[in-house]
Amino acid sequence: MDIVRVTGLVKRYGDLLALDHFDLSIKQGEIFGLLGPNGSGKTTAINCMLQLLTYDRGSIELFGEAMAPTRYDLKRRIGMVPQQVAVLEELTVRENIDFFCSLYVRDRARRRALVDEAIEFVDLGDYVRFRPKKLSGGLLRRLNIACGIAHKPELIFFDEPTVAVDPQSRNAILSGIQGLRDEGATVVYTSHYMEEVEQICSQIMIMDRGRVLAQGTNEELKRMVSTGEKIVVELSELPARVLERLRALPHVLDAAFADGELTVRCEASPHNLVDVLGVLGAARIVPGRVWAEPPTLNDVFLELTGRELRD
Amino acid sequence: MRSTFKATVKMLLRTPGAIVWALAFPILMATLFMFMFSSMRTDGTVDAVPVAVVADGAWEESTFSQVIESLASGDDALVAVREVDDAAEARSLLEEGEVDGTFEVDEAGVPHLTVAPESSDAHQGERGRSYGINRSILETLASSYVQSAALIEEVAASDPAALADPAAVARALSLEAGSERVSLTRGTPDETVRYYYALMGMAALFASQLSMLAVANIRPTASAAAARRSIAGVSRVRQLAGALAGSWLLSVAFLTIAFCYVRFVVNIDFAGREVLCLVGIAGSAFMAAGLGSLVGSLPLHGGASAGSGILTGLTCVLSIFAGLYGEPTMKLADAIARAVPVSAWINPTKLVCDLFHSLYFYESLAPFAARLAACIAWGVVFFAFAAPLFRRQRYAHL
Repeated sequence: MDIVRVTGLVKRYGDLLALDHFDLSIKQGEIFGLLGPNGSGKTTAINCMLQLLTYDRGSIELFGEAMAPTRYDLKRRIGMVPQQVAVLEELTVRENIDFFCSLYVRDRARRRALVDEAIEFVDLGDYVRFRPKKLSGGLLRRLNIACGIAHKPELIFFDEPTVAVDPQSRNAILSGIQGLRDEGATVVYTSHYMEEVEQICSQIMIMDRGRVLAQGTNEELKRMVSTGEKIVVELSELPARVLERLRALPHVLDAAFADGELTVRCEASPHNLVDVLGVLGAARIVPGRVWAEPPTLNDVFLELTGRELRD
Repeated sequence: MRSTFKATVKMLLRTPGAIVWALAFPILMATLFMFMFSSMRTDGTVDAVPVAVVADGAWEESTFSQVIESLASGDDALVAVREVDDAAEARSLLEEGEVDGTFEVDEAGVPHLTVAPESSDAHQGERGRSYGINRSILETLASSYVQSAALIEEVAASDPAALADPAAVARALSLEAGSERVSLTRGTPDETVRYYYALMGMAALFASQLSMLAVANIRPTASAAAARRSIAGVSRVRQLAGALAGSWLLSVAFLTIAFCYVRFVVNIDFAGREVLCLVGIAGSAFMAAGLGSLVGSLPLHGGASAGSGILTGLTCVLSIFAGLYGEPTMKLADAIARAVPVSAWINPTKLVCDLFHSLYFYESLAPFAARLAACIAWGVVFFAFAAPLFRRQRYAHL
């Protein structure tokens, strides 16, 4: 069953087309990764689904029903962990979680249990009486998550939840999200960290300029791009003419030398490594370490969205 | 709604700016007023009026001398008598400002009062402040005696037997015999109380900061937390209702604290109508909540800080026209209220000031009820303007 179904969504900000006939469908129990450069429309798409933003065209169905600003019955089944830390500065950690939970759950006794569970989930037990300004960046992110998931939503949107978080906290957050999925929640996850998405997402969508560029599993996406493998060679120096010869090899997509490392991106072919080492040997260059690796999601992302800098 | 109400109260109680403006500032101002007006305030009693009497033979034989003697005795003497030998000496005392009037009785036993003009040098400054009242007391005393004496003579001529009944004579001489007593004012007039009532007006307007903050915290464009609230499973209307109820209740609590301070610490008279004052506070807080929600709903670039600045400025300016900042502004406020009476109903600070003043000054509750109704009406108008502004605001972010 599709928990989320978005069809032909169009959203304009004046002349800027933020979403251009955007389609999306997410199945129950998935952790769905939404990837895209800054300004690609990820957050706009999420905000439209949550009815925080109006949209110009298209339809949004959540849990099989048409979503509307007044569908509070559907909203009560959704959790949101926004990009920015969205908590109330004047309330303590516990009061914040309780307050946001109270916007979904009226029963006080049930809420108390849910708040305790959320505090345990993000491991903020030692900080329940602290106000947000006393918390570190990582703790704030954890509080932000607790406020979004305390009411046990069936569909949770995580919008870059690990920004400015240390590796330990990041691991805890990622395994926590997998735990939520294991408990039956469906998760929509956006991030700029490709390795996170590779690690936890069962389906991944790459979007840019408000449009869907590709969608599939991690492996499916890697098969969609030209890059077959990446060969890296450690070198003390590399003359420009040798670099040109490498670029001229049949299956080489591009080659670059920087910081003592030659990186050659190739299409899938059984002789890529032999060809590269052959060019270096002919130029009497003795390589240091040499290794070849399959394309990463990062390679897929850059190939699909381009390498130019974004705002 | 209950949780929004609770959270709003907690948040506002932990917002230093809100506490300073809505609670601490009015109390501080009341304390300042207390020291400023301590020398001006009286307990409502009148000191004995100094008067000179020409104690000649006619005086000694007159009934009027007995009346004056009785008024000059006891702890609550109305007059302080200085007996002199002749009219010249009495006049001299009057000119020097030693006494406020002189009494002389002619051969027929009729008393004659001499007073100095109010512009006389001897009755200026501190001395002149009570001279007008003292002069009125002496004039009333003399005219009452003459009228009563004439009445007795008339009764003696027309019905001598009536004089045999002392009770009938007393009734005839009393004020109730020929007139109906109607009380227009309730308390002993004290000019300084108006400053405290104007202060209550200022405090009410400062309390509007609470609802401004409460509403600004729900606007989806105000903050990430506000945006998060607007996608929750509770409607914005319910959240708004909870926030406004919380801020209104806190406004009532803060104004009640300020009122209790003014009433019981500064000891300002509210004419024994403290319960009605609390009703007035509730109405004032309703108006303030409306104003605050209107400003809180405005799409201001500076958010709540800009709203706070607007309300603070508005409160300070409008308080001028309630006469808060001393005698010149009080005269200005009175002059404006006389020239443009409707201004007293438009200016929220003046309206709240007059609300309390009407309780203090008038016996009738009609003026108070009218002003209370005006406060509620203004609150409704403010809410009516705030609602579409609030509803139109949507989150817009790339």
